[in-house]
Amino acid sequence: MTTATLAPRPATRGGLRPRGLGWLIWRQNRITLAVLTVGCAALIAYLLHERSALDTVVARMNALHCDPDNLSSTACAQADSARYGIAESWHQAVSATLLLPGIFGAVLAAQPLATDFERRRHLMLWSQSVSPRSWFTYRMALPGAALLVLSTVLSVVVRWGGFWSHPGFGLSSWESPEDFFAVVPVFPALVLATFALGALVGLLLHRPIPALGVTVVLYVALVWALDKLRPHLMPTFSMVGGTNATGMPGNAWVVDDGIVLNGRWVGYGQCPGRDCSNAQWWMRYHTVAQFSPMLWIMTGILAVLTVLLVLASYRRLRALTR
Amino acid sequence: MDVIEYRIDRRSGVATYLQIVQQTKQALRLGLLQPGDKLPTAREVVEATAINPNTVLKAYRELDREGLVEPRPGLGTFVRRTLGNADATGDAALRAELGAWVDRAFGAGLDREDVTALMGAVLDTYEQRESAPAEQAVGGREGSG
Amino acid sequence: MGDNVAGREPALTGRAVAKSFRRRQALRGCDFEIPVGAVCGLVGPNGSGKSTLLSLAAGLRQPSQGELRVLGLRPGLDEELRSRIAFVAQDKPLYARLTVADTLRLGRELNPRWDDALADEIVRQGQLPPTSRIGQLSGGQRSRVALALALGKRPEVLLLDEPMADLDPLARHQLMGTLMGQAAEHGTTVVISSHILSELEGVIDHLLLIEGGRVRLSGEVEQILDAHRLLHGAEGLPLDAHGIVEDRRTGRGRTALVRADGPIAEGWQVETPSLEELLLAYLRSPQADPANSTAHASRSEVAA
Repeated sequence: MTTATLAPRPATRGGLRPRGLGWLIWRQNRITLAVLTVGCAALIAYLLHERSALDTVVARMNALHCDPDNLSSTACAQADSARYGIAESWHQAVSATLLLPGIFGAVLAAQPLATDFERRRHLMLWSQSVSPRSWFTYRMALPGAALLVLSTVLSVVVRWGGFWSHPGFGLSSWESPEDFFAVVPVFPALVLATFALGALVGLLLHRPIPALGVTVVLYVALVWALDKLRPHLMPTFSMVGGTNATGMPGNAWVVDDGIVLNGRWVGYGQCPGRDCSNAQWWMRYHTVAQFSPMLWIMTGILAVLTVLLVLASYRRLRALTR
Repeated sequence: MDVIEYRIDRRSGVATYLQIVQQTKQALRLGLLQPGDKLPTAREVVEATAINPNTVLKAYRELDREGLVEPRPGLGTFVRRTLGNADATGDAALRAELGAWVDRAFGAGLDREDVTALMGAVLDTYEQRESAPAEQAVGGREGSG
Repeated sequence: MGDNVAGREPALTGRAVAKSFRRRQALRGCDFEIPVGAVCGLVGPNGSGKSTLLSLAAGLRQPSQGELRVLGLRPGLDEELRSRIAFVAQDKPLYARLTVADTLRLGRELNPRWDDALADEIVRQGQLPPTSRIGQLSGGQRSRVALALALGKRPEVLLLDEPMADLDPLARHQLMGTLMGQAAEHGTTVVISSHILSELEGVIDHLLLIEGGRVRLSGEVEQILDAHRLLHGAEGLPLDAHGIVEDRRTGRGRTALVRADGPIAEGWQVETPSLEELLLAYLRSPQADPANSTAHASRSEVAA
């Protein structure tokens, strides 16, 4: 009788209605997830808009028969500068995208978990009829699944719409970290790894603000370290050319280059005091055919890291109930 | 409403279950409780008084032992008989005697507080004498052991 | 209720329970037994190990040594025990941004034996609007919700860590009444830690006094009180050194709390101490020998 007024039992009809722990995790994360979803949607809309603007500019340049290497006409020069403008704002948007995993890990894992422990709410949660283990599993799995969907959609758009991938652009650019880490499948893996990292930090620190900061700092360090590792994921190709990069395959990523002095490959730094004008250039590079395999290798590394972080979190959880 | 509401004084020094027993008897004497009346359940008593439920059950058992109430399983605890008239006549005689004694006490120059103190002292001695055999038994056993 | 206690498996059993944290030994060698249906006070000074003991019983931590069983099961390890015990931690942690109704829903979603009507009733007694957020409630109201969350579980054993601290007297009385009502109705075993002694007088029928991580007294309150005597007398009166819990001189007089198993010299005025007097005497004299009074309490002389 009075039961209904306070807490109506959920109707049995909706099979999709979250129950049990699922309900709690949904109830606690729905606002954050909604905000993040809206943010991602806005970002996607912006990226799609930039991509269509790029299409328009490239179409105009084609119509004007502009030669990208020789922009004699004013119209062509204007179109080309518009093209660079779009490239610049795209670059900024993708850089912003690369901040997201750190934010996700901090606000969806590190900060709320640390707050739960700081306010001792874990004592209340673990005093219900659920084990700490299953609580933590739900706590990770549900937002994790939402993040996986969100980050996959976003990074598919980044990869498809990337200006470097545009047939009319022809400019190699995947050497910059955001064009490697913000595309599918690396990006979703990076999001999940950072989410797991945030959870572990939250379980270890028990104080929200430090947990937030540490997660962001560790995320930046992680991306920096992985970026250093990136050129070594696959063997490079090398070539010795004339005095410029002619003959190198299109869209290649030049990892290292220099000049050939007395048959040895050295850096440009060796030039001062010598005559380098006739020296040949050498370069090491990854071809664009290696791009996709390298993305998958990086994804594998991040997947292993995620598993290790989750295992460490369960260990920590066990220690907290010892 | 409830036929009786217990007032528990935790600082009185009287055991809580005894307070319930005494207040029930008082209500029986005054006719506030009649045979057939249902005493409040243990839950009702402890919700109102915030005392231990076992205390209420103990008091009811004591009243049951004295034949004043009877538990009917599943229904509650009911008053069996009243405490009344015989006691009232006895009380009247005692009261008259005590009245005469108080007259003499005041006549001898005692005031109200003196009388109360004297009464308390006599009751204490009486109680000590009552419990003395038990004490001696304990002492004796320890002494011989 | 007191009758069917006998012969049943105890609600809580501790055998040489010890718990140490990184630098600190919180509990050592604790032996105790609390029967089913008891309302047991867990008493001791701050930092004596009350909260640690309760968190072990609630399965939130594991003992470093020894064995603690609740309803014959190992808390935290035997999964089926989780739905049968409830624990309210100190400070009543709840989600401040959830509403009262959502907090109760949390209880319903996470507990198989949830009693909606009961939880509702407890909240309704406090006249809490279901839509108000936990963060907007007063301390007493929050405690009420925390208690509703625990009692709605329909636990067989209810563990409460300082539940009534920082409540006003009315809320304290109401909540204690609700709690005792539930204990009366369902025979719930209640273990309630407190350092407010007056809060426990008349409420508890069992006592577990711990100090410095050790059990100093454990057993039925009546038996413990009967096993002690409060002596008043003149300064020069002889007092057997054995069994003195506390010995205080006041002017020419002398007040002592002793265990009742020794002979008492002539001239002392002898009383049975009240619970508060007994606890204060023990707490004031931490050096008193930690008599394992489970032995005391089981003496048959007072069992009648």
